[in-house]
Amino acid sequence: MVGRFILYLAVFTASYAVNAELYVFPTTSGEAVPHTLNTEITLYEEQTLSAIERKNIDLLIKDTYQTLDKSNATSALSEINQRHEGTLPAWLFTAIKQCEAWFNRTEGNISCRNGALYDYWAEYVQGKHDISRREVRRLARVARIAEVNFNDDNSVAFASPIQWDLSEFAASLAVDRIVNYLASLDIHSYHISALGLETHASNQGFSWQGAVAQEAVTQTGRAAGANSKPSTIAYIRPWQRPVLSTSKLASLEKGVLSHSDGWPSAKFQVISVADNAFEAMLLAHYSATKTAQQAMELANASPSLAVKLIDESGRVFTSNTYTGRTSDEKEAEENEHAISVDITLPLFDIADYRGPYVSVWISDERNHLVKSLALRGTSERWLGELRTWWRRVGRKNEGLVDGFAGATKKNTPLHIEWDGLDDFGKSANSSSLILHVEVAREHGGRSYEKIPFTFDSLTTPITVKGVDEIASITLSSMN
Amino acid sequence: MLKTVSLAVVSALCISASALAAPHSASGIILTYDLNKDESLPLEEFVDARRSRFNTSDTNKDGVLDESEYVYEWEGKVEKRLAENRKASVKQTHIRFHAVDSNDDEFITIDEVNAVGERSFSRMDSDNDGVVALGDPEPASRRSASQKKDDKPELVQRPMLRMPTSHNIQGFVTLYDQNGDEKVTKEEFHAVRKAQFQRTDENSDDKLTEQEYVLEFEDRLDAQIEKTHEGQIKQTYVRFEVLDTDENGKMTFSEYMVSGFNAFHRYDTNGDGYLTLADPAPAPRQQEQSDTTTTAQVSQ
Repeated sequence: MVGRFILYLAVFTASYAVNAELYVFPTTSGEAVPHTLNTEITLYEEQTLSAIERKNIDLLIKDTYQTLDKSNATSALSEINQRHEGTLPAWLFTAIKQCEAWFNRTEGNISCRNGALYDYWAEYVQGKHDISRREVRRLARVARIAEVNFNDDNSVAFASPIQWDLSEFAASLAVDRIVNYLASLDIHSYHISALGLETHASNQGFSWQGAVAQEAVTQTGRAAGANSKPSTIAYIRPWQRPVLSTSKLASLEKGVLSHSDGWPSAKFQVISVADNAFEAMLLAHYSATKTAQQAMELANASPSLAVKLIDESGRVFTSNTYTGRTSDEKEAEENEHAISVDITLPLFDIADYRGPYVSVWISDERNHLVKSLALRGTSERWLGELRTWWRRVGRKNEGLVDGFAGATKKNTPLHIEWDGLDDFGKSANSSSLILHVEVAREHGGRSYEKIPFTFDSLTTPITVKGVDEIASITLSSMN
Repeated sequence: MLKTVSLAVVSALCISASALAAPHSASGIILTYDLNKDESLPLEEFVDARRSRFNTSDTNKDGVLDESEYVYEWEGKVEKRLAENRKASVKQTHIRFHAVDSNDDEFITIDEVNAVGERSFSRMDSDNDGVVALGDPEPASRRSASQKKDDKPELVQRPMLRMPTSHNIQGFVTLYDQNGDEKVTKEEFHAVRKAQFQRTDENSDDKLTEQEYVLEFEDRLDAQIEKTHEGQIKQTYVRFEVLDTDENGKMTFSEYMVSGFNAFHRYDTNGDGYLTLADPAPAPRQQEQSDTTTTAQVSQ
């Protein structure tokens, strides 16, 4: 995969050879201390970097890694961690505050506080002790409940269980600093890549989906009036990634460390999109350690975020925001097969009302599953009450239930956007499809509706009034 | 429609819904050695399967098992089973969270904990005297209550990972008796559960999130895993010494088969030379591990 990706980079660069300039950092050869990942910058529109500007970028990258270097006791972050207070460089102060905002949104599942936890894993990798699952959970917990105060003068004070650690996000922070620097030079059309990250801003139409998601090159032409606001795509392939690697050793355990329980997780390959590289990495990290529903909910709650997950069997889950964020306008217009499904559920005014179990899926005419759209409820006992779904889909797809099922949500309506791709990211073969909606409720009944449709027939929305547990279903084209 | 089973889920029963039928007592041995998976284990098939397991354990291929080979092989099995049991248990804990969260607001409050507690306490206090004490009658078994007579026993491996249970008098008193008088009053019961609630409530906002609830349970689960692992390994060393009857530190296949045949004949209760689901369970040897269950939780 990495090979194919490098190939893509080469082709991508070549396609702009006429009017693009490629720079590779660090510019000096030899071992940088600490180890610095290669960062490549491509500039478009005849723009170039002078020697001094290249040197400045080199320094920015080096400074980012050095400031965050935990192995050096005199690095800015190490000093703060020892004193539990101090003043930070503005970019780092901003990053930590941003990380804390994510911390609060995700109940500590995104955290930059876990230095002690990472140190413990590093000692384990170095053979200093065994790994205890209770100890890693304790380290994550004490960091999570510790107090921190931020002041306006970029200073911070915090309780000792917090040890700031942003090593994992160093590359993304370096990229964001480069973006800011380029903006100060009035350069707004570029493509920056570092390991696991692609940041792009230009007037050129550019398809992320083609670039990374399918690991092949799709280059679209210039889209008139496209904005040049940068966006970043980050990707994590947890099955190939050691939980922790130092310059000399890497853990045998693969995956991404969950910030809430300190244990590696490798449920999904993740491709995430955000306005800046740091947030793209935070979202990727979160999505690799949580369920598909949780990741998609987080992305759907914010228009700047999007996420695509691929589980081990190749099943694909995308947030509603993904297609819009990864294809240019022209491509979005051409996607005739985007549809939306809206389902309302009745509210029963009873004392022990429990949110119903809901499954929404699309099949072909022979009832073969094409795409799972939603699954509310996690208990297999209750999912079994969605009898039609369980018989045709659930019982055969354990991975689907584990990775995709989410909590019940009372009678909150469902809004689902479907890009027309099947569970494995391929275009739906059949033109005659069936939308299935099944709802079952504890102390209540079970309702099941199916609506046959073709993409062409949706020029006018289809609305079906349900009975009992389903109030209504509306199916409409998004074009 | 869904009502009867919901009670079982709410009270955090150890039975998963799909396994209302009791596991057959010889499940472990049949599942381990019935390699052709026809749910019947004739003596010959058993000996062959033991032979191949013996050979696999004999890593230096000298025809006998030394202590480290014997323990190493079992340790691998133990770790695999504990990992599987752990996964199932954690999954069950997520489900239990939603069962206790009766108003579906994604938080468990102390009132919700107490509502479940009231039901548990009155179930245990079957003589209705307001205390649960050693010597009180055991509550009616939920399994037999919910199990139909024609339910066939199933081939289900008993979980190796078993948590302290509060579903029998002994376990209940052990968990909740604070002053050592071998009785549990309702006040003691609620006090223990309240303390546990507060311990679980990391950020002290008087409500438990699913994450808080699951992380707290995982702590106890992992403590139990460490204990179980240690106990299993210790026991394996003892078993090696017992089976190595000539005490030369090397177990021959015939020494190895002594324990195998003992187990086979114990469960082949109808004596036909086949272990099948039709063999009635043997008489209990001693107190079956009745003080544990797979998923019970003090906070229930």
